[in-house]
Amino acid sequence: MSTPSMPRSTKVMARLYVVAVLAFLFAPLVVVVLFSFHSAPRMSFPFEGFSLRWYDQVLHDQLVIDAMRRSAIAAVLTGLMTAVLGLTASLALVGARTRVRATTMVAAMVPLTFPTLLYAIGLAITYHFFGIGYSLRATIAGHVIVALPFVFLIIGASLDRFRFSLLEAAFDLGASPWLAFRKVTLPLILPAVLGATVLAMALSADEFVVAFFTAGQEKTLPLLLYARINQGLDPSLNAIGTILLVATTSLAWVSAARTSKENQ
Amino acid sequence: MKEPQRVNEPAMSADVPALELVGLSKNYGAAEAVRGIDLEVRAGEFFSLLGPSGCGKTTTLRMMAGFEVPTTGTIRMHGRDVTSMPASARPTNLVFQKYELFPHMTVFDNVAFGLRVKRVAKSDIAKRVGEMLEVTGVAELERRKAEQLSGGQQQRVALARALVNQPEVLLLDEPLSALDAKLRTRMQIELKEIQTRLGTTFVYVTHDQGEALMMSDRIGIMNAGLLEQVATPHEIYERPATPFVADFIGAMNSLKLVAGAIEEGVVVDRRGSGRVVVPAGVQPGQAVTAILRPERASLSGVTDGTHDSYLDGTVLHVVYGGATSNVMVSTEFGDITVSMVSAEQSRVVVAGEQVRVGWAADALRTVEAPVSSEAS
Amino acid sequence: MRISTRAVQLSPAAAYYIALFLIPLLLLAAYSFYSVESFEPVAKLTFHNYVEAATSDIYRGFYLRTLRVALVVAVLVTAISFPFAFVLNYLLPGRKHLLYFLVLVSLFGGYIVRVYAWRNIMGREGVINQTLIGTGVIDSPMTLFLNSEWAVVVALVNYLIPFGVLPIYAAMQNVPPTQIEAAQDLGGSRWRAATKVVLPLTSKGCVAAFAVSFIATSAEWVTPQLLGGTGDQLIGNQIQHQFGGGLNWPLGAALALTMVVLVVLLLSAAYLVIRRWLR
Repeated sequence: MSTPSMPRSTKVMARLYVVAVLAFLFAPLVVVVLFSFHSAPRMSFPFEGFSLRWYDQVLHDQLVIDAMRRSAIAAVLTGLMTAVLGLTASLALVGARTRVRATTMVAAMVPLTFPTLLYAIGLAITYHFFGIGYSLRATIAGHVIVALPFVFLIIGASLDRFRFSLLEAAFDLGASPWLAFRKVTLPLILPAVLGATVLAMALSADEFVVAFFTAGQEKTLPLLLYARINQGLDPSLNAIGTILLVATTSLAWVSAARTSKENQ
Repeated sequence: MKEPQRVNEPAMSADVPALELVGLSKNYGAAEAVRGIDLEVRAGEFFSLLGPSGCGKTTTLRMMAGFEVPTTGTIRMHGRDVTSMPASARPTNLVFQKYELFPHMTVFDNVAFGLRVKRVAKSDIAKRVGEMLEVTGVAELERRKAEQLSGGQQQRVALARALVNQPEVLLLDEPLSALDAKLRTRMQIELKEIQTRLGTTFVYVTHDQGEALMMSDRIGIMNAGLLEQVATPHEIYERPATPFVADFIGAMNSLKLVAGAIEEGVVVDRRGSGRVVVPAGVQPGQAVTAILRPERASLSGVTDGTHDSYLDGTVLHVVYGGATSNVMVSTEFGDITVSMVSAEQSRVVVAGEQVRVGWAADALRTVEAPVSSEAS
Repeated sequence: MRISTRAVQLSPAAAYYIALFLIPLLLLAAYSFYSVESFEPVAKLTFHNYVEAATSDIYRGFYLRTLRVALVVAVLVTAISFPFAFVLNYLLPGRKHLLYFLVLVSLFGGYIVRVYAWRNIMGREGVINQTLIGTGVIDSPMTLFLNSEWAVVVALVNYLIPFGVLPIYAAMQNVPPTQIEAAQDLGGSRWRAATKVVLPLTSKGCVAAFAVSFIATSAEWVTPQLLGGTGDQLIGNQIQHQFGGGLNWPLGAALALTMVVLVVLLLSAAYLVIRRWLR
């Protein structure tokens, strides 16, 4: 790809703009990570020295460990459930008439346009109505809805690219539909399925609003962070924040790497 | 290296056709893709289904494979009715036009796929796959991933993958159409050799008449859902049964004749400046359309040839094609193309000159019944 | 035969969707008509909640402020995202995948972490103040950063830029750089190409970016709570309050649904206006 010809000044300005925007986007995250290693209990420049004291403090805090555990469980379960639901739904749409596909796609995307706050309170109301208590499980159920549109989109796109004539070849060689799915379809859509699952995990790990209304006492890591922020600025929160941030970002990274692998 | 065992051994009776289509038709709603086909393919033969795009040959092949359910009719293989058998159960294998190799598997796994489905013993699989890869010439690619192969290599692997299952009938859907010309010619020869070696019945679909003529024991020409003629390549070329076949196979000249008087024992048409011997079986007073192959005509004074019939005309243009040249001559019976071997020309022909086109009496053939000339 | 297998395959997802999405929405709507007795929602249906939402001066104030902030945020996000996506696609195409990837990564840095970070940066004891004091520029902490609407806007724009870049970038994939070259070949400047060619062709993406930012902001509550002052709270805070200390779920539901209606009306009106202009 050749860069279009343009005056140097334009190119410089373009680069500056991109750098500025990216700096703006990453600045808050960088600050948190940076000061999580600060030896002094302050968040100011000049930087006084590296220390792991906050991590030490945080990782010996039972409440933090419990919250991390809960977030991890929620992430894994959300990932698995969303993957299964997304995969079955995407497979169902294979070869369907355009109208059916269009309506299903629109219906699936509706949760995306809905403000999470409204969904969260609706979910809280539902649990109250049916007498279901708040818990991590209650939150996971909500996380699945939040993540499902993304997973459905990603797996659906992968199935769109899949050449179904390959299945005819499998049938011709004597395979049953289930065997053909297992040996031909699944391996070829696996990168997308995995990528989507990891993405769902990232979404769940970071999710705050639904958890706030439905987790009750079983706080996830974002909820813990929120509660402590309300108690005051505490340098150890930088450590908690960094842990959360690293977790979600690496999951997102893995997800992107997986899904792009398929597009080689 | 030991020869792979010939399939279709005498266990299968030579009388029972390997493949039989009876009254086969296929409709898609109101569209009639195949309108009633009766066909017998003999065991061990290389049979081609030839026709233009949209004639129904691929649909017929897919019905043989089991991917399309016939609207009416029966399909039998070695006497067994397989019409309602799904593709995975049928004793056929299909070489797809786009090969359809499983991209994420190695060549070995692709070829072994059908054997593994049938739960053949591991040692047997290794042996048979190895043999088939040798036969198709891709033994060294065994460990390579299918998506990394070139078109020609994929084609061979697709062939191996199908043949290793020892199908009663091997179906091939225009397998060479995606290859470049040189590779295609080479593969045509190899395919024919493999077929002869293994003795498997091949049903080969193509729109390329040269390919069909070269490889087939017999050809079935399809047009608009029907079989127009089933015969050996020689027969089809020399004695086309219908105008469509005559037009589809090879180039041809078409002459509308009116039988006139009898001269020296033959019926002639003398309406023009020349003398045209009318094909046998046409009575004086009847009109008929006859075909003449360009390579059977010659120009007097340029190339040698019997001139039982001849016409005078003017050269419209000359197309030099290297080994052969085509000369188009305008006569009272229409434009006639004469095809000559360049090496045999005694002189150069130029546009505008007056020439005499001639041919032997039996070079002219009819493809339709003659009609009474008052009707034309 | 095929139809029923498809229905079977679709049923788990469909069942889940109905149970955990549609039913909550329905119940949300239902509860908005409920009454409250001893701080518990009861099924005595009334319009009282909606009347209060519509007529109360307090809530009107919240709605107006919320819509205003949402508008500002949406405009800023779209205004920043479009040039960003434009530069990525047409001025620096060699690096565009990497840069786009970075944007997506920043998205996953998290929401709470970001809000916390801005509090750090802007607060009394935060980075900006501490640095300014430490280097002697000012004597005592400035409070104008934190607890202001400005802080809320900055934090929201910061969070929502990736959401704005996504649809615009995607829309630009359908407008290859050759279109710009064609415009330039015909004598236009790059600016002209941007406004007259790319903008109209990617208008759907820009509309999506605007709508996403607007909708997200309209329901915001954590950011105003942690970064805004008492006078900067948005309707989301009120809704959350009713589900927390306020203990008036039906009212909260009514406030929420009223907000949805307002947002939809406003966005539709804006869209109709813009459409004519873009034509």
